[in-house]
Amino acid sequence: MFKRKGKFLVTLVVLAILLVSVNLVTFAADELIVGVGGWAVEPTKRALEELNFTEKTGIEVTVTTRPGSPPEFISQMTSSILGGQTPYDVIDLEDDAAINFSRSGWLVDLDPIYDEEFWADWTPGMLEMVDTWNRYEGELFRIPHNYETQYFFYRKDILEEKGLEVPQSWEEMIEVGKELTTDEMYAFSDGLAKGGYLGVYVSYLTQQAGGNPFDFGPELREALKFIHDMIYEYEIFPSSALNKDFDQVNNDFVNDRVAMMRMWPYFFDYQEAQEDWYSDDKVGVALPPKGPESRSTFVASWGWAIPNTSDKIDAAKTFIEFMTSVENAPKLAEMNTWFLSPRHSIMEEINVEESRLASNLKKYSDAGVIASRPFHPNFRQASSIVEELSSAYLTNQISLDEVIERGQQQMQALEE
Amino acid sequence: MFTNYSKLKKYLIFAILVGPAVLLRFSTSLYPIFRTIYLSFFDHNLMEQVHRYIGLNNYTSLLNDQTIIDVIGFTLAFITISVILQLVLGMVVANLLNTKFIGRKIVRTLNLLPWVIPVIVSGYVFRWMLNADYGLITDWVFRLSGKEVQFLIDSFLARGSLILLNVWRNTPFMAIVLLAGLQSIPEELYEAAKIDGANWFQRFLNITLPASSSTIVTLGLFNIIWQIANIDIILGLTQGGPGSSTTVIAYRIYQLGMQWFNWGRASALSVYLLLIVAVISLIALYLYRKFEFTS
Repeated sequence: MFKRKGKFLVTLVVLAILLVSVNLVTFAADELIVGVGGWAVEPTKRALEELNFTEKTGIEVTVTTRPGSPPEFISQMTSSILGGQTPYDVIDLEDDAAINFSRSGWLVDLDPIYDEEFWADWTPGMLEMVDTWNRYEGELFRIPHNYETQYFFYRKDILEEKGLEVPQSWEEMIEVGKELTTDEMYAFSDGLAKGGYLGVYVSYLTQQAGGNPFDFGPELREALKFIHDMIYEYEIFPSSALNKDFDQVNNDFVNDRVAMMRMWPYFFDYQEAQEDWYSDDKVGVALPPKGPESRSTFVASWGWAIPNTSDKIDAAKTFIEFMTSVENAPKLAEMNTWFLSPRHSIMEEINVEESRLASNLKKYSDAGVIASRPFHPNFRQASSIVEELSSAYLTNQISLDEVIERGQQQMQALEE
Repeated sequence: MFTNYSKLKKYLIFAILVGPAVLLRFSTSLYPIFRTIYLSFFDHNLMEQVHRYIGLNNYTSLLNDQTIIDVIGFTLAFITISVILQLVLGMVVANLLNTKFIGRKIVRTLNLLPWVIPVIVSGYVFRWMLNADYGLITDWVFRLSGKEVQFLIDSFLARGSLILLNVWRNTPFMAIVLLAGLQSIPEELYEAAKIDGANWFQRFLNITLPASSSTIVTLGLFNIIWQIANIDIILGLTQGGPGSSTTVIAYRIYQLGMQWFNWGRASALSVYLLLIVAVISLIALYLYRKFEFTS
């Protein structure tokens, strides 16, 4: 009897010791956890090493991957934050998640970090973007570290070979597209899967038609019809794109299955990484073909934010201040395009002609085609409504009239 | 007095022993249900940080939304077809596994493989296998028929693929449970029927089926409830698309609550789901009793 009791007690003591040690180890890990998208882990680590962040501040940092897709990431953070926890002390946030979290009051106000001298480094266009997408009720909840617009990439070699010019309008896209499409290659493609991809292309074209997709007006109708026609009537755009994300489309492009596409600037790095395939005279960047109203292409940004459930808010603020300071921003931008924006300090330091991204950003900026991203205060749900109905139309489940009617009803319900 | 003290002690011990379990059950089951019903009458949105009583508005606005009506329709179809196919195929597999052949134990183990793969993994794997450009299954279909089939882009095929994947995954488990039922049927019954001249179909219809009826109904009931809460397979395979063609109620609740932060509407939709589960459960219980008595 005693033996059994003794064994039981010994087991309990061992378990208790184990639990306490695990907790001690957890508490001892006083590192700042920084969550970034998978593609930004290595650039962020390298930047911190090269700028000697830990030596200068005494703060140890662990850079870790956060889910890349906004719906997945929002779900992860929602359960953590409502439970009073956070998996990250600093998060690299995209527009979608930033709007959700700021409206829910989950992010720390970053305004006290910055003074007037800091803001003098920002261009008026960037400041406008900061006010719309990064401030809520006067508080700065996220500070952007990049300023990404979407570029129109085309296969310079193939167009030259066929004696074709880059299309300058939607009409020319159809004409050139017919000439370019073969059994092996489609003229155009884009990531049209649900989950934050389709909404981008639909918004991009709706803006070129002169509207905002969240209005469910004639401009959205025109944009959707244009995509539908390219897929089904002219067959210059693959219907398989309706289930593809941006990575898959990039892969198609570098495998010679697509001749032209709209894409985010990370494709600059992606194409150059395909050493066997890439050469300077293979890929060109042109201004977006003009829609019924404009050639515009909108900007989006990623930026640093601190969840208010973090227990290392001061260290997190130090990290953000370091990564965005006027002194370090140009160095970071030189290290990786992930940190590139048209801040004065960056543009003064960086060699625009040498950087493919910076030179194209300047080209787009000079042409006046960069526009603000269509905004909605409930961005994630509004985007989901646009994506769901657009996807239903583009897969021939409902008519355009139904898209507009249902969309207007759902947006009205959302605003009520 | 002594008796009263003894009784009191008994009740006290009873309360101490049962109390934690009751408390646990209350906090993890009853409280969430009542809280959900309560929230369904409010405009409770994390993003707007509001908590305003709006009566039945969440319920009526859901029913005025054509997408939700479509979602409810597909949910019912998804559950009905999945459960029927799983039970029918499960019974077929169980009968096959009940026959004597060399390597029966290995085959019974292999049969369970699809069921032990995590659901989300199955979803993602089949998403690639059904991919329009690079999918293995798509390629097989092309080689056999010469047609390029877009399983996850055509809404009808996407629905079919989702249901078939669900059936593929759950049938092995159904088969194992049904097999346990088959093994409890006395062999003499079959021998007697054979002597009476009954063929295999008559033996199945008059012995196997009645003897397994209570297992089938119980399994069917549990399966319906599991299918109602099934979202990971959808998350992995289709994410509810194309459009909302493969969205089920549970997935929409997840979107409304966890992605769009509209907890009032998510709660109202949960209550609709609760009602559907309650009705199905009542029907199933009625059938269970009926078949139990019959068998």
